[in-house]
Amino acid sequence: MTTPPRTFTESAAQIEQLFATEPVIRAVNFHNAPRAKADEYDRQLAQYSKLFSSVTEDQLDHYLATGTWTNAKPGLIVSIYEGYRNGYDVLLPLVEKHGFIAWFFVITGFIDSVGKDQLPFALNHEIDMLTREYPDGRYALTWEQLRQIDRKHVIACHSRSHQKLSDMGPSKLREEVVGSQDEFRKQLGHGVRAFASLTGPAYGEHARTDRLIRAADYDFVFSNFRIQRIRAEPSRRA
Amino acid sequence: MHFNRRQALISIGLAVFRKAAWSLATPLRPIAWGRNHADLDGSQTPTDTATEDRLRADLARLAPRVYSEEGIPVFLACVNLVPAGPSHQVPKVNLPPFSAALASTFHRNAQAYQRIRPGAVAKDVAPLIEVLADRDFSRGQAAKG
Repeated sequence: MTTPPRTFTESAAQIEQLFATEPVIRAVNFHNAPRAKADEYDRQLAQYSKLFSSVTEDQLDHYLATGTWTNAKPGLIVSIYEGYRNGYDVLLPLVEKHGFIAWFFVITGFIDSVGKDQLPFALNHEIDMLTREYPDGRYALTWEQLRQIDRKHVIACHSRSHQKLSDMGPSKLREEVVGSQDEFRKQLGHGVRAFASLTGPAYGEHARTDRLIRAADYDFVFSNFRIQRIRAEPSRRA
Repeated sequence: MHFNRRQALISIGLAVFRKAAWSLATPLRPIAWGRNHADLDGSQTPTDTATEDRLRADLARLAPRVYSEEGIPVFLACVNLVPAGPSHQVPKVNLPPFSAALASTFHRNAQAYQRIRPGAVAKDVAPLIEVLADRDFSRGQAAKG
């Protein structure tokens, strides 16, 4: 087990060590994507499409295993966090227009909330709702939208309720890590390969979470400024 | 030419002594600061003051961003924890030159950050990485790797 850094000096030393000894990949993190900013996202992704190429799960797995990137342009992971409805309505068409693969990190509890409960759920689970552009009150993706996204893009788990895992008791923690994967299996017909929680922990920093991550068959753990590959074979898809 | 081993050893000893004496007369600095390495954008190592000025300006420029509604560029280290082969050890991966350049640039800017903000806390590495990513993403010529 490793201990998360507690000071700036420790944290900076850890990051410097990671950058010095491991391959690095670029990512751009989106969250809420209001339509009023669509032109800004369009320009941003247009610029990135000149510089970078998309990243699939298999390409990431190969890069993690070998450190070798085979495309002419470096890879860029376009991450869309939480599961906002406008990720589908606004961002996804732009991501596709510019030739990228989107990585949707989804909070399953947000998706499972019904219409009028989604705003309270968001406000109680650190899901920012600065812009609220849907008068019908549905702010999250639907499972049907996620099934469509899943055909061409990556769905990943961002836990069930977007809370700090290391503070949780055993049954709640299991729900966050394994229960959310069970929900993906039920709704998508397969498990997802990547897991990210709110603020970590990284794999190796919290033994109970590590055991559950393995039990749920995730291949990749995304945490603060790192991706860890923890399984050699792609997860079973059924 | 006849090689005089005794003279050679004396010469090496003098050279080591001179270097040690020079080092003692030089202000103590973290080792990496003395390296003459390429910056991420290709320039040579800037002075401490230049690094601080540029970092201060970039932090101020990026501070108004609304994190939840903008695309924020970052770097992610890719760590393989899967053992392979009969040794059950994690195989060594290729390390693109970009990683070393990034580590070096990060080190220099982390030192500058601490001088600018002496009370920096652990989570302050996030804006620092975001500044470096923003520079890299917007400079128009991405390094391979």
